[in-house]
Amino acid sequence: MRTRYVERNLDGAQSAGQSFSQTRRWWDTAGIAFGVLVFFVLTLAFTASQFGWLPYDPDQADLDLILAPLGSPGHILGTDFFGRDLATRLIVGVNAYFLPALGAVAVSLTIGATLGLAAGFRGGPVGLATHYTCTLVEAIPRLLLVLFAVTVYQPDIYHIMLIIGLTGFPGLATRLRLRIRHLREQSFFESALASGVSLQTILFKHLLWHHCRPLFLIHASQAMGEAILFETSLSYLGFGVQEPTPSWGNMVQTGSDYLLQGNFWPSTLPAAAIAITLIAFYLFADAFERRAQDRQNP
Amino acid sequence: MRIKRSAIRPIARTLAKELAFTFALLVGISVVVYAMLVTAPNSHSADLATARPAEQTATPAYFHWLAGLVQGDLGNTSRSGGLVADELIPAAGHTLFLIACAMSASLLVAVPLAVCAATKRFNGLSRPLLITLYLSSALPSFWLAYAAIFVSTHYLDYFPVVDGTNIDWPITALATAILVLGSGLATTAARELSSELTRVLSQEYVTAAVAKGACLWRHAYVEGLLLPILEIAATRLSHVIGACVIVEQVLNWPGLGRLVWQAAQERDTHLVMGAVLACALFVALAHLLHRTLHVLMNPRASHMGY
Repeated sequence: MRTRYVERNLDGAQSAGQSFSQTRRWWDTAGIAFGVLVFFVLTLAFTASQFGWLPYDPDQADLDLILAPLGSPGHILGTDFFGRDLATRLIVGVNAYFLPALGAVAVSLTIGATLGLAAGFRGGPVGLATHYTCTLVEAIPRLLLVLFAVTVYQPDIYHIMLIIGLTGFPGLATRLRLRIRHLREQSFFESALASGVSLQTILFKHLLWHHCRPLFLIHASQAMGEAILFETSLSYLGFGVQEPTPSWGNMVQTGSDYLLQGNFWPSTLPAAAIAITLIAFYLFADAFERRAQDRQNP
Repeated sequence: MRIKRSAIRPIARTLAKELAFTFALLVGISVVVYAMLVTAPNSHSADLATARPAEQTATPAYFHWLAGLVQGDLGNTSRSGGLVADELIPAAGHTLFLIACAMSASLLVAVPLAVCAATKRFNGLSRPLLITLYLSSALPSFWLAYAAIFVSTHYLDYFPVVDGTNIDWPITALATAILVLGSGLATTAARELSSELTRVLSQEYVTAAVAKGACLWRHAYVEGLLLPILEIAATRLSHVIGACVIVEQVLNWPGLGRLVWQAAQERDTHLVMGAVLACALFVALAHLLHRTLHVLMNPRASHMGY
């Protein structure tokens, strides 16, 4: 059954009624479940590599078994050009971005929340200043900024991810500003003020926690995907994690020499891992956004 | 595009504000880049920032550096010793050409898809296409480029990589680059366009226009298509420039991205700084152009504050 109706999106603007049906709800649930599953697998892989619960040593070369294909006995996902087990390197590769990316997400959430709340609540000059900061940060292409930082500071991956976090807030800040501006026009805001609830409680509990939780989760998921994309891109370009330490980016890079010979598995496997992870985080964000909108417009 | 007489004054005021905003943006960008140069532990980079003329003047080093920038003096490259500007300008031309091609191609794909999605026509064709685009846009572009090279060399019998720097626009390399750059762009464009178009088509003036028997698109195309296309082109430019670094590196396209990649490997601070400033300048100017066209096409926007 399809119903057309007018709904408000999470920014508070009126948006068109999309047809929403049982099938779409099912797809949204599947998207959210997929995102959670992939995050769980990543956490598991991270824990496994931290404690050394690995099938092989990721640096152990087996020169008798170079470029073993998928499904070889002993090496389920094959081996690379040194005969190193690809499955092990894939698991250890999670190490390269997991903690740094989580840090980047935390940084961008903190800055985005502060700026968005201030701009949405105060408006005026504060709003203009936030708009200026967001536009300024978005004007410098992030990959180029990171390459500039690499040239100038020669940073490690944590500092690179700090830059990614510091430049990742404009999306959240802009959406939060619109949302809070919409919410403070509502009567619940006024009545809470009139009944003597402290401004702190209204801002952080009523507005941020009760009404903007979905935005944070959506942004965190997108930011995690972006951070992973940046880490893999930089490792691919040779500025992130260096061979022989595995990262999905430098695995694609080293494997790509063999791709043109037709031996495409060593670079396609990490590329597929990247793609599945990114799709999971983006799907989670999209599905969760629609779910939150349905909740808001029952 | 007709503008009411009474709208001219608010539009002019908004445009003046946007101009001032862009100026402030350029100053802000230069401050950020300068701050990074000054705080560099590497003495070579710091020298660049604090280099003063022989006679000590009262002006701070920042203004001296800025004056040099405004006159186009970006310093010398460390590998050839030539002027940075001489290397940047042709490379920037190649990159802008590539971006223009990729953007037009992806809009050519995205607009019909978005219209189909918003009007719920040809769903059987447009839905699978959208899903394919969505999935392909998550594939890392560095792998996608190699896969494109592999497919074209093995099955289509051409090698889509630019050889040498003496470029005569090989169409095969251009097509591959457009494919790789455009897939992500087409996805975001199609998604944002279709959601915006759905919003506009459900508005009351569109319903009224349809009820009167007027042509739907004559009333809705500015708000539903032109403004969002402008916005996407302006806001995605910075992402596309970032993606160019990877695509140009794989396909050996002699543009800004490949130049930055090489310069960052050689720790050539002047060249990377020049490229960052040039790209930020493009993005800021694109932002200004977007705001100008937006206000001219939609004078209501001149009444909105931040």
